Amino acid sequence: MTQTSAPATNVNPTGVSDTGAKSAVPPAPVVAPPAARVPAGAGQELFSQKDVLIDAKQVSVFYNKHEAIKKVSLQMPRNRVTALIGPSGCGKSTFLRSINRLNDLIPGCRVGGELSIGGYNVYDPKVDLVSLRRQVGLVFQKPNPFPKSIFDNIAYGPRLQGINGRQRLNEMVEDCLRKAALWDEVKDRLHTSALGMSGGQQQRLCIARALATKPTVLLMDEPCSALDPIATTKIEDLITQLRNNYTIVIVTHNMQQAARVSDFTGFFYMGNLIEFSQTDIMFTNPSKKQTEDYITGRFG
Amino acid sequence: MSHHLADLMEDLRSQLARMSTMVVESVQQACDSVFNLDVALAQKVVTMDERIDEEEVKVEQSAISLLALQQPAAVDLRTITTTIKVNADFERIADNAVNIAQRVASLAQSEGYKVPADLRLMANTVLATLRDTAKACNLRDEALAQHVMRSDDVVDALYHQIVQDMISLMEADSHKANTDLNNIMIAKDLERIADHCTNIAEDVIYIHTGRIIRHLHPVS
Repeated sequence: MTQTSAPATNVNPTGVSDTGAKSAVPPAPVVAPPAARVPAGAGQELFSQKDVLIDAKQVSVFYNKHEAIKKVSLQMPRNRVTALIGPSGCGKSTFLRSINRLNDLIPGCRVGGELSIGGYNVYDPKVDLVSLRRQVGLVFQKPNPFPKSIFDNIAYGPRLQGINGRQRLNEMVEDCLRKAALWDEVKDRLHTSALGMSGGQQQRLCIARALATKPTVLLMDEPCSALDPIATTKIEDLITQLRNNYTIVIVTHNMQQAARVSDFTGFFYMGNLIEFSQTDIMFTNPSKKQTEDYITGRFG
Repeated sequence: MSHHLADLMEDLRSQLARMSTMVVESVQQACDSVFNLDVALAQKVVTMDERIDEEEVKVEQSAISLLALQQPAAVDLRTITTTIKVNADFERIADNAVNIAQRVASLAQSEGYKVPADLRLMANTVLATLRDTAKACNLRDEALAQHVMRSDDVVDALYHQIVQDMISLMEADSHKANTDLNNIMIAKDLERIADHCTNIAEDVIYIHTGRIIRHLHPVS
């Protein structure tokens, strides 16, 4: 992971210091349920400004000369699930990775515009990338547990943060596994290899592992694409439960999944954000014809 | 089924149950307002109808949202599409109740008006059928739905009897034609309510069996 040259004592924008002390950002208040349905359109407020956690303003992402994301402005509310949908190559995964600066690892990739979380610009040079990625976890398409025990997978992050007490780690591991709806299935084999689990279990382990660093945001890049339908349903149920305590952004090429699990949906096409609205409006009465054509399968 | 979908289906069921409860109350009050010539109660039925209309729209929106977002299959799909239809039937029943209530002002002005015995019997029969219908719908009770369908013949017979009686009365004394005509109109609205109950009952059976039994005679 690339590190900035800033000293470790600099406060990173998400407020968590390197010792893993509790975030200076106050706990996210529970967002009131979306108000009475209003048609999505220019100027309609989907949620109040105080509920915005992730704020992208005219964000562009370039791979060398190719502009993969074209001046996208988008706000995502806290403690809700936002889905990003669109055909292959539309830039949704690129946009997702911009949120925790994983694109920094790609040579020739640069980002323009401003992307902030909780009011802090994550592209500020003073940002501590390690802390950013602790606070903004990412779950990938292919489950990627470490070749370690189930216990050690989850304890890895906290141990790096300096947490070593046996009891404390036991509690953390159990807490994370419960949150990921995996505890009952694995509690009697915590010290067996994570690679011995099924695909669906491995993915839930990856989610539990992300939760161990007490993130504010969970990014998920096609988390169910490699899973069977039953495992997919379990992950979707888990996402629905987690949204009360975490802000979740999920990229999916399966728009029915976006319909099932998300509160808000953004439709991307060729690097542009075409439409962003409440999910139930997006799937019953979108405002742009292009969106409707995509959702009804007329193109893409 | 995911827990999420299970919860949403239960929410939809409760919403429809609330709607049907309001409609039953409306019909009860409409009948009471006729029995007691209670003009104030009749007015209450008319104002409550606005709330019922709002509730109908909300139920429909919830059902459509579920269809769009959850891709339901089999019994869930049948339940949701049925909910949309049953919802509309309940709203029409509430409109019939308003029609009945709107007769009360006119009846109250007729000297010494008495509710004909057959009309009172018909109203009470329809009320009982309506309560059974709401219960069958809420509990997805197929047996009760069958029972509702069988009671339609009784109501039809009562309706025809009342019409005959009123025609005879009008032929005998045309001065009371206004009252006799109001009685027929009330009976007509009650008969329509019973028809809607039959439709709802047929839809409840569809949820269980997947068979559309509309237009099949006799009731099997």
